Amino acid sequence: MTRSFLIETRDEGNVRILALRGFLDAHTAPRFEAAVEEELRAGRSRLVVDCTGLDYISSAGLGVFMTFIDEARGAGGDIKLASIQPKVYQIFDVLGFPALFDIQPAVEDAVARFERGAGEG
Amino acid sequence: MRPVPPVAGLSRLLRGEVYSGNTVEDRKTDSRLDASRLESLLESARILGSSLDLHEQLNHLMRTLMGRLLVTRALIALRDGSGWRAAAVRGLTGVRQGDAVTPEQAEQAGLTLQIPIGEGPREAGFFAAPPPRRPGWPDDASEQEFLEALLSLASATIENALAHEEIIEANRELAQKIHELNTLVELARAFSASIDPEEIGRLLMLTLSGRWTVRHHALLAWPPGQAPLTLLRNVSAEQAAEWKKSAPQDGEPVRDGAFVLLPLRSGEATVGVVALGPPGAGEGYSQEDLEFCGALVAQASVALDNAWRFQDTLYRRQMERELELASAIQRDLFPKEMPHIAGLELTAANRQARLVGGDYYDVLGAPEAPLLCVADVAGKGLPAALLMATIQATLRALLEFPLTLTELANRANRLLCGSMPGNRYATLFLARYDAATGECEYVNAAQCQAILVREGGRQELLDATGLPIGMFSSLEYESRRLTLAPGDALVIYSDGVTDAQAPSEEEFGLERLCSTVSGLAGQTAELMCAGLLEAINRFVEETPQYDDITVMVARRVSETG
Repeated sequence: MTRSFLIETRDEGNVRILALRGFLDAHTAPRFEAAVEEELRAGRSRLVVDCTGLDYISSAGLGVFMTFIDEARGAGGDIKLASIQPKVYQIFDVLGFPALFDIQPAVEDAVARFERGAGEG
Repeated sequence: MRPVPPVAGLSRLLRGEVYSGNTVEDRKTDSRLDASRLESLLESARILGSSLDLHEQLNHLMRTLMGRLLVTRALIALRDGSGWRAAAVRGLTGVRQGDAVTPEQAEQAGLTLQIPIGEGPREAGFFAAPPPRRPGWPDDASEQEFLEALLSLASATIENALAHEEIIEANRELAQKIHELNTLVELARAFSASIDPEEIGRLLMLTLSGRWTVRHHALLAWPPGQAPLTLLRNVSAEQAAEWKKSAPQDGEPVRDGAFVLLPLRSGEATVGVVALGPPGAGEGYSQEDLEFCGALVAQASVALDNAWRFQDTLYRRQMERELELASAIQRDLFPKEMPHIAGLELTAANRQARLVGGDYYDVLGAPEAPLLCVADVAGKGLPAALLMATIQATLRALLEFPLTLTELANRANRLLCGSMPGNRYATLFLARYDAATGECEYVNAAQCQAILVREGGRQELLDATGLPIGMFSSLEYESRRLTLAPGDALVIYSDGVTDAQAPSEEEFGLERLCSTVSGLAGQTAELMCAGLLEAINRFVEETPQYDDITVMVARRVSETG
């Protein structure tokens, strides 16, 4: 069973946006992991993950956020989440992510929080 | 949602039965008041009825009640089991939202006005405030009735909101259960699709860290006969080494400081450990969490075990393929058929050992002066086979030059010393036969003693004349000469013959070989060779042999035969 998962990247100022589409599960999490790792290796630690098109997230997908959050913050950046569908947000919420991550209603809000110098969530 | 019950006091209020004054002015005031009460009730009914948010409802009630009573302090307490709990608090320092309270405590705090929210079994809680500063209170019966009506109205909607909250909570729990189920199913699928232990390990740790928001974690595995697996995240190698020692020996998770250690099992043995740091959100691992954690790790254990087994098989297959290849190379090196040499019967046979040894035989050069060789390359498998090919190529190339046998051996040794890696070498028996005279010159580079069998059965052993080739490039080989008279045979063989083992582990040995050969004297080369192999077969029975068996028999045609 292969469900589609796409990552599109773009820049807004000095903030990197990773727009996710489809299913972030055990099969696709390694790809997302590689993508985030690549951003951090390239010195881009100000990341906003645009979840508008994200239809499903599993624990493995959530694990990617846990894997890199300390590193991103340690480098003076952050991994912020934005525009999460209610169904998907419920999972983030149930597992306690809002306490650990800066989650914003819209991508612009998340970008704006970087611009205000709110490096940490 | 439950229908809103009839509201106490409201009907009288609507009928206009409650009037406090008698003058026209009083009546005007009363009717204005009534109008504002009705308006407030209707507004409240609309707001309370349209919202399922408890917090919103209580805020509205507070605003309305405090506004009408002109109080700055107030409390709404809701039933919680057999007691009450503060659900909304205004202007109070001693009580916070969520605290358990009793009407008595509220009274002691000066909140002497207390009105129940709903009646009888429907009583959802109570409202408490200090004595109102509202003019006319407490004689204003219609205002009291209004308050009762409002709170009675609120009781039903509060109940609905509470039920709604419960449903939301149940939904959250359900969402969590569904998520856990999805995680299990998804992992099972992903695990079954992977044969790479590291991939399985990484996926497990991603899932665990995502599910419990874990920042510090480690996976260590030390499966026997396999490469160890180490995946660390925000954990030191020293710490990991400690966990390897303290890994649970049974299937149960154990706590180690802030960490939880879960064993990775293979059969009955612990072959690894998963260490999880404290969850970033929430309050540590509950028993239920540990059980689910354990289930995920157990699932990964099985997947890892399978992956390791698969790698084992893969390695074995690789080895088998390599041996097949080596065997094919070796077979291709042997001459397809023996050249025809005037006055000489020539036969050779090779039986490959189970693990492919390094025997090689050949007859090279011109038929008037053929070069007979039997070689045994040290080692087995592909490297040995490749070395054989090198020896063959070297000898063939050197035969293009007019060299004496010793020159040939010396040059072959020098060339092979340069091309043989490390500690590789070969034993080699080379004999050049003169078809015209029956004269034979040989070099024995540490190969087994060949046997010269005279027609009458008398035997001579042909000792080594030098060290194996490929060891020291400066070696100078010596040669010896002999003459094959008609009927004489030369039996050249590899150590697989004398080392052939019977089930009792007894070796065939030189003595048995000599007596066997002696018994075969006078027969053709082909019969001698076949007879010798048969004798070896009878001796070893079904015992698998660890070395190649090679026999070459060259017999000068008997003048009588």
